[in-house]
Amino acid sequence: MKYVDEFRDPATSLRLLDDIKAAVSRPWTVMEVCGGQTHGLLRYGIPEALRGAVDLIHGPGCPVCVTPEAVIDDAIRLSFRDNTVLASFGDMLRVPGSVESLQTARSRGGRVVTVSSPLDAVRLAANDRNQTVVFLAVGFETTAPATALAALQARGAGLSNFLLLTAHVRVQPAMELLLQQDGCRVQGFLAAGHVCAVTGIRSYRALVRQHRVPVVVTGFEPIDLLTGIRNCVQQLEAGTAEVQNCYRRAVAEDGNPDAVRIIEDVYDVVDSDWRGLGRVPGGGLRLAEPFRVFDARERLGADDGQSATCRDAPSLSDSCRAGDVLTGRLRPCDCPEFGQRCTPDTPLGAPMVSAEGACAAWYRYAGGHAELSGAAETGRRP
Amino acid sequence: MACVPHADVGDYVVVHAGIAISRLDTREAERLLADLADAELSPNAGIRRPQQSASELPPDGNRNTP
Repeated sequence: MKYVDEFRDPATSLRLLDDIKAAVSRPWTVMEVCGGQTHGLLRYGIPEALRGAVDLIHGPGCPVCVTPEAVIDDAIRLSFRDNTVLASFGDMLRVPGSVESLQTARSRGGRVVTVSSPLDAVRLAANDRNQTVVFLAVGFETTAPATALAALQARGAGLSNFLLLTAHVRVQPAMELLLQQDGCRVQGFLAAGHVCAVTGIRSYRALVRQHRVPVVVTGFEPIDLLTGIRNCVQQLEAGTAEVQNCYRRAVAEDGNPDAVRIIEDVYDVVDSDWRGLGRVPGGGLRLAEPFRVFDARERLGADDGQSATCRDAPSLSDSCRAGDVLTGRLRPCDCPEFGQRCTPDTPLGAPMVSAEGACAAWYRYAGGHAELSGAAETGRRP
Repeated sequence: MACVPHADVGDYVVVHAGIAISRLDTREAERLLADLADAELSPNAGIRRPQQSASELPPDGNRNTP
């Protein structure tokens, strides 16, 4: 596809790899924030190719992974409510709640449908006004414009049977929290390209000034990823910390003002619990006052999804270390359960479920458990 | 297309969760590819690079232009 294939050119990618290795005087630790980037990096073997030069650690940018169990529990409860159907993106279905997933709830008779867009859920509500459609609204600033638009459409159509169970999160506050945590290894960030396509890049300047950490806005194809890493490493070597945009074809300085306006109209910024990170100041969105009529928690009495225990119990399984993976403290292959009890078919935690989860990416592209021990050993720096 | 009201037929857009969130800036796409091609052809173009054999040269950086 045009404007995709060109950014996968092998020869240019190899040259960028050489550029990065030549620029490095010591190993640097760089976090790619977005789960889509994690998958791109692992798919093309980039972390392995840069071993010894750049240690790429995976960030929390997987919305499915950071959604608290309590939100899934709420969604499950609503799927059993009379005259109610729970609509969700497909990748939420297998994520474990505190007891079960939406998928197992559906097998027990819960009414759960998958949609690829919240606007489809609005159509469901419009087509049958006798049933209540609750859309499970998870996602970063990339997804928030779509759910905000759904609320606006529902209001425009006078739908009283369309509701949102919101668990939207904001990326930058989570990056700031990571930098404040003890033992944070992050020396530079590859910022999430499609989040920045919405939000723009100006707001990162304060973060860069305060923490002296380079932030390079980066896309998802190999050449995008490698260009982002190269620029980040060049900054680290030069001792500078700036916001750079290496994904200009999709990211404007101001982002998408129309999308930002829709988010601001429909949502307020609130503190929010992230699975694995705990409470993130300013890390979430909730429906603003004029749109509370679409709030499933207010209308149907669900909990607020802010489980106090979500940090201590990040997954169904006590042995799952999703929290450490989501904060870059643990590589998926170093988890004792990885590829053993925990696989994409039998996930113990959300990062093994989601298409954007770091564990799923490792399993899929780094050979699963067959080559696990070898990969883990050779990947370890002396 | 509510968030990219200026998009027109023939434009490329980034679609997420059923809505377009960004209209692709094709000039920026071409510029990055051209910069990378320039860096390959000129050792002084600003990107540090190691010695390379001719066989590692990428294809013509202008191959994307119609």
